[in-house]
Amino acid sequence: MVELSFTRSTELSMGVELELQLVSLYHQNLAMEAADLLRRLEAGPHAGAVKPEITQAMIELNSGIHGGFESLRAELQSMRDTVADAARAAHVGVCGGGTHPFQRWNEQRIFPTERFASVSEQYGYLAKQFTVFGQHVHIGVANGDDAIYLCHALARFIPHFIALSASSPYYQGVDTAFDCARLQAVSAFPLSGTPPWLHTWEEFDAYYQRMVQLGIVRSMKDFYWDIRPKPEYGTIELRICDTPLTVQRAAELAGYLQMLVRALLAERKPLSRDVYLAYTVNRFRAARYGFDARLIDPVGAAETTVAEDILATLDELGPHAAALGGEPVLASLRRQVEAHDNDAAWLRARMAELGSLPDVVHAQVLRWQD
Amino acid sequence: MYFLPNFPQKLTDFAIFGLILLTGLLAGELAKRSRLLPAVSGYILIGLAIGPSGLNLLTAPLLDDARLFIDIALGLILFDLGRHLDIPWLRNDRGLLLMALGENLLSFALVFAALLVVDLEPLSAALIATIAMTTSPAVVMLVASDLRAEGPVTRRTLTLVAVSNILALVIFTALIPWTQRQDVGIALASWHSLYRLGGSLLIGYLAFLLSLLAARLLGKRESSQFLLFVSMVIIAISAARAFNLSVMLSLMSFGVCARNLDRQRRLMTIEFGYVARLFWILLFVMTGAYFRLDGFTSGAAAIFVVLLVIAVRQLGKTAGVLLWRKPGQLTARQAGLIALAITPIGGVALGMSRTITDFNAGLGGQLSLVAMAVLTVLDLLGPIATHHALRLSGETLSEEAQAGSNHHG
Repeated sequence: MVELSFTRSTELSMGVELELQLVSLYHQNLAMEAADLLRRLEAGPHAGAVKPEITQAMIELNSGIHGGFESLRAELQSMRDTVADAARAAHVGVCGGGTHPFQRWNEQRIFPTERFASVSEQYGYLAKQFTVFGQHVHIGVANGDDAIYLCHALARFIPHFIALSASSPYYQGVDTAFDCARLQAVSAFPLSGTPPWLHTWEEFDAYYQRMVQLGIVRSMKDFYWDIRPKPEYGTIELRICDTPLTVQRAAELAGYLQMLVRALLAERKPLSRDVYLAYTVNRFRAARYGFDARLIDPVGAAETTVAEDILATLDELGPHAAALGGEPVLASLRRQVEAHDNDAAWLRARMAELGSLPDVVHAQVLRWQD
Repeated sequence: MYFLPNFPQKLTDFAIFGLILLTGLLAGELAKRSRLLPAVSGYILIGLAIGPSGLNLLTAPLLDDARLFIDIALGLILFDLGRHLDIPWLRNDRGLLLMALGENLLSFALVFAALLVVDLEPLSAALIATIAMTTSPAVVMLVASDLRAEGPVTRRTLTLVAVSNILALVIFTALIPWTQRQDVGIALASWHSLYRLGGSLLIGYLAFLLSLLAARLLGKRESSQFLLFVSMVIIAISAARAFNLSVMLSLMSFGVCARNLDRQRRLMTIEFGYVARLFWILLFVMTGAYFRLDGFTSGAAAIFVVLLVIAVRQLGKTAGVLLWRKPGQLTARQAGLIALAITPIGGVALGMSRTITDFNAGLGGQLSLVAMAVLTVLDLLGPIATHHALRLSGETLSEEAQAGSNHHG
């Protein structure tokens, strides 16, 4: 059996993947345009960085590797502009958001590649119901042991990322009452959840080999965990976020994770398995109530809201922001939390103002462009 | 016994109406099951079978009585088609604009030239060439809707259909008064052209303004807006008729305004669904019933002209799409499929040739020989071409997925 080796990467380097919606400018429903749009982008500047995803109405932007927030934001903006230009010529809308507000999952069409066909065969309707749009953030770590440590240490911050990125209040034509309805689609998969309680890369490798042997997974890609090590890249990958409505917010989320990782690695506090006692409940509450969710803290035993917990965390990240050039991120996140201003709130405000979900999607498309 | 009816009874118009729907529905289903034909072909064939050319169940006077239904069906379709004409798209995608203008220009020019060569007088040639420019919105929209086709090829096909119909309707509406120029003189014919053109566009615009006002009260509820559009379509049809204007151009203008002038997005994009299906079946069965194969029995010369018109029209449309595919960044395959998909000529053209007869019975008779035969051939072959073009585009939803879908499209 081949050992799962962890590629060494530059510590604290970062990159993001953004799954984006393609929507019709005629009826604002999802548009089966991925293959055609990707073909149009082939000759352009960010050709290899825009990829197909599981359904024909989805594309994925992959950033390069960055040391800091500013360069990441600049690259994402440039990619967004390239995609927007091609989309404008083809008359297709591109937007962020964790779900499409009113698409019918059974009308989705699977992108014709072997892997996606296999996923579709394996998971049946779940594959199509998985028409949800997430942001993945990668942070480079020095070795596999650090990656495993961070997967556990970051577990208690998962609700922060859910509330900050939440942009999926509408799903299948209704207001779900959740800020982030997307997570429920992820939870349906048998290999979703969190990594096992292991502490070294060696232990993790043994676990992985066993899972392969049992025929449960074929590669690391089959684990749909909220956060997972990505040995090929030498990173940890946070997969909990909805795709925000703007690249600005996407870059800020990456910047926040980078600062958190720096702080956690600097302190190296001992881990407590107790964090997982409340994990699924906290995750649910953050998805449901956003910033107002009340968090259970099994370790410190204090109850706070997500908003309070984020603000307290931001207070402690000052020195790390200074070291990473992340001060604008801290300031912006603080303002968002204080105003309870996430994308879910923005979408609900548009619905109140415009009165129909197609018009909300239209507003999403405009917001993505500026 | 006194309470029993007397037999044999004549089928009432009312019963025939139900019969048309039922036989159309069944024939459409059979066509679909063949996998080679779209449902539209079934509707048309059953019309041909029960119409004056066939069993004569649907007689000519009955067809005239049913004109109201055809007008409503066409009105709904043209309104819907107008909503597919997205002017910002044509502004951003010059390639598509060039393709749309190109294929129409070429098909018009080639058919016009061919008819001049066979010695038709210029005005008649221009009228037939205008009819030949159009692609049937009814056929393309129904085939696309049956296959649940959506994607780059389908969208562009619909845009080309919209452009060809609006161009043809404008030219046709402007030309038609000239068929009476010998009786009324050139000055009056010109005024008549202007009146019909301007009046028809204005009716569409007024219908749009009225819809906006009503929508402000009704709000964005699909059920209300659906009824709003159906009623506005009927009102616009009546208004266009009352003022001797073009019903078709008025309705298309209404749709174009609704898509492009509704800055505050008060009007929703509604799919007409089941109700439209009812009108569609009626429309196609009656279209089939209108068909005359006489053109083919009146000699080799007529057959030659019919085939010539069909061939040069197809050449013009195909060449137009292929020549201007590059600026729109389309692949050769996409362009080929679009060219195939725009083959059908249909309901609107039928309306046009009827209009000719209304205006000038003598000329109508002369034109209808060629026009009707062209329509018949293309209406039998066109839907099949569109059906296969869209299937080959890979933009259609599989039958299994359709079965599981609760969509009313």
